[in-house]
Amino acid sequence: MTSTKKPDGLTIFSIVVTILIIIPIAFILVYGFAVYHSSIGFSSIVFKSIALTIFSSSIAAFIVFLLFTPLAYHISRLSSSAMETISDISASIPHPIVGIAFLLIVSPLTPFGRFLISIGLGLFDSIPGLVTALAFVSAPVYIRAAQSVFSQNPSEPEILAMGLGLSRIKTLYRVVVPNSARLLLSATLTSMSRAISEFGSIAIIAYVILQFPFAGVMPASVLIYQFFGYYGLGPAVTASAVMILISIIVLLISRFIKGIGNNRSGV
Amino acid sequence: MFKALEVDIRKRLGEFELKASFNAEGMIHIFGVNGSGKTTLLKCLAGVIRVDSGTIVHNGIELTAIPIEQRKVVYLDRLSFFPNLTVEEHLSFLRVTEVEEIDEIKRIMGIDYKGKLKNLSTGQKLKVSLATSVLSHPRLILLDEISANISNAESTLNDLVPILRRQKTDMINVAQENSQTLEKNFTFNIVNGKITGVED
Amino acid sequence: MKSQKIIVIIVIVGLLAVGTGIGVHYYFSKSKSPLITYVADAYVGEANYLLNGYQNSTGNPVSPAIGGGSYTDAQKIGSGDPANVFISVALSPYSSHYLKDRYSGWAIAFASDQLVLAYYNNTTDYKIAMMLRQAEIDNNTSEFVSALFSITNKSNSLGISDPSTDPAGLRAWISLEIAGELYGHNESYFVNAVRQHHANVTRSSAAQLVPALETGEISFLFIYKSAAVHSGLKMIELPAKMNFGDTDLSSFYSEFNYTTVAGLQKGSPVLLYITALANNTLATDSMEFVNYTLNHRSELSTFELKPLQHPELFNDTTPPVEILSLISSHELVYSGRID
Repeated sequence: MTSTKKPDGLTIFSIVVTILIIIPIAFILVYGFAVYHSSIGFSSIVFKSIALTIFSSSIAAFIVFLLFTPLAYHISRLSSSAMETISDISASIPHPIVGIAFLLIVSPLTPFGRFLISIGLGLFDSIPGLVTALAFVSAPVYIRAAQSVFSQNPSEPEILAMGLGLSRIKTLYRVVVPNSARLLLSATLTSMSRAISEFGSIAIIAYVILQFPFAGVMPASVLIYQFFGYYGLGPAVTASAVMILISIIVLLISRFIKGIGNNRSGV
Repeated sequence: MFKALEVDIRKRLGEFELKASFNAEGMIHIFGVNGSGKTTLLKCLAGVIRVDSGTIVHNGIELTAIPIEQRKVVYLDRLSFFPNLTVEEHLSFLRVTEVEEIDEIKRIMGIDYKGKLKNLSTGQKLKVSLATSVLSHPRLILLDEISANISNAESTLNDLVPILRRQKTDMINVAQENSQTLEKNFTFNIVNGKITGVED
Repeated sequence: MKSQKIIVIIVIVGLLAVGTGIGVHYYFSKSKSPLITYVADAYVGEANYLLNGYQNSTGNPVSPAIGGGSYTDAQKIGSGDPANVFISVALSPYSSHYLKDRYSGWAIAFASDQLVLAYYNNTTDYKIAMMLRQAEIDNNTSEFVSALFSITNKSNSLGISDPSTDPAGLRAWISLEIAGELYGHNESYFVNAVRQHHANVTRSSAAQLVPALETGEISFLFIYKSAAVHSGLKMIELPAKMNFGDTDLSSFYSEFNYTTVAGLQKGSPVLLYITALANNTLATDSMEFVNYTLNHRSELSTFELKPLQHPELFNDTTPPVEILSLISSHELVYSGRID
């Protein structure tokens, strides 16, 4: 890194576009906390809803980590463009379509839906449904992030492990994942952030949760949209500000963990 | 003449072509300048790189199509170690090795240090990796220019010979130059992907 | 390498050309900004029919109707969404409370609809629906109660849209109150049954519950008849006192009420209202479209809507001259205030 006294053109341009990203967020925070400061925005209904969102997003992120780490590893080592493209699909289709797809899959119209219902696993307006949709839409974010983590790692320890007789999957869990634990955790948190921000699919498949312990609770994004319909700007903006604050905290934790990883690897 | 290791392979990588044909066993030393194809040869033998044609046979078993994890051929270069494991964890990586065997190899190789691998010097790391490889009883151990990073590398390798012989493990040590101190059974020179025997 | 570069350049240029082409086409083809209509989402089809007719007869450009729950639409318009005309299925969304500086002070009811009970087409749900219909035909109160009870006591099976965002949901709850009063033991009989058995499934509008009914996630849905018909749903009609479809029963409906986040809401007939919003960028076009709608309301019967013989004006302020002339020609009747 070279230190320059005067920022160059690229730096100035980067600062300007960063500000463009910050503006709407800053507006929500300022108006939410300072201008409107609506009491409904701070009510228990909002906090329950944020709790549901954090809970479901973290479970979704954990499931994504478990299920998609092998795929991300596989793609990063064998560069299968077909698998890569497929894993990107859910990121490139409008999310209401994801919601509609799940509604169809889990409905009594399909054999799979009938099977799920017969074993008592209804996904409609339920926590499993919410988590499934969140996992689906946040998976590409994780796969991309994890893939770049794996690609940056040297492959020698893996070759050694396989030479010693470990299968690829054992190599993944005994060598690759422990070596990249921090960066993978950071990737998981990034995909959790994506899950927190989801609206389109869950407004269809899990608009409000009907079961204990979140009976009657809406995911935060749905609740905020609903508040806008009920009460107009004030409560919606205040609730949004609370939600944004929590999302920023998750992102900061993710950055912090990633930062530790970078510092260590530099030793 | 029958030897434990019989290699006759071809591999093209862009402009470069590896044409390696040799029979050998025991401690095998291969030397050549940068870009002569040493690493490519070792990676073909280990199964990391698939060969275009030819065969790799060890003690009558054809290894050419056997996947890397079943081949029992260990490839080591200076990044081949598990940074998050302690020395003890590293040596018992396969979870089946007897304590006595670990102790024996630690004594022979002078591994009297502890701690996580990532906190050790390069030479210390590579000694642990090499020991771990020997403990896995492989057919072949391939050392890709790691001697330069280990102090007294060649005497360490010489000390390992009885164990390697006992467990029928052959070893290929690759370096930039020929060695006078290594107790080797065969020596080869590799130039532009072609390998020729050298009489010591 | 060189051919790769050329392919990349061709793709980029191609994408830019398509994007620019679409932009240029729309920029020049619609030199005048189109009329934007917000509509209760059960009536998007009807609104688009009227808008197309209006565009064909006047040549003025229109945007496809934008649908949403009536109250949500009103909130959006009040928060600055660029609507010109607002078609709602309840009167209160026209109040200044919702519309703020877009509040026009008047709205005209031009067609009526009714609440029906749509059902999922499987054996069980069909049987219950038929039982309810038969009980109504036979005037058999105990059968009617038992059928309605089957509908209200099955968990997560009855679609009622959010009463705070969609008047259809509000009317559904009031309909259950009326059923309780008329056939059960008291007003809260069926409402309590729904609550106790967690029977209801909600969304911000009834239209958003249609896919859930079609896929069998829910068994029954309170929805307007026209919406049920054009969604191809199986349905049964409810008794007039429960369906809000009879304008002569207005005072009966208003004896019942339900509290939403906006406060106490009285029952009212299902009427489709229209207004040209205040502070309008297309004031003339908007008034023309209101007129067009009133003149062509009879065509709405193809959508299972009942056009009103005399459209009804609700106003808090003096309406525009175009409206006043309709009053004087007796095409429009004064019916009361908005707020």
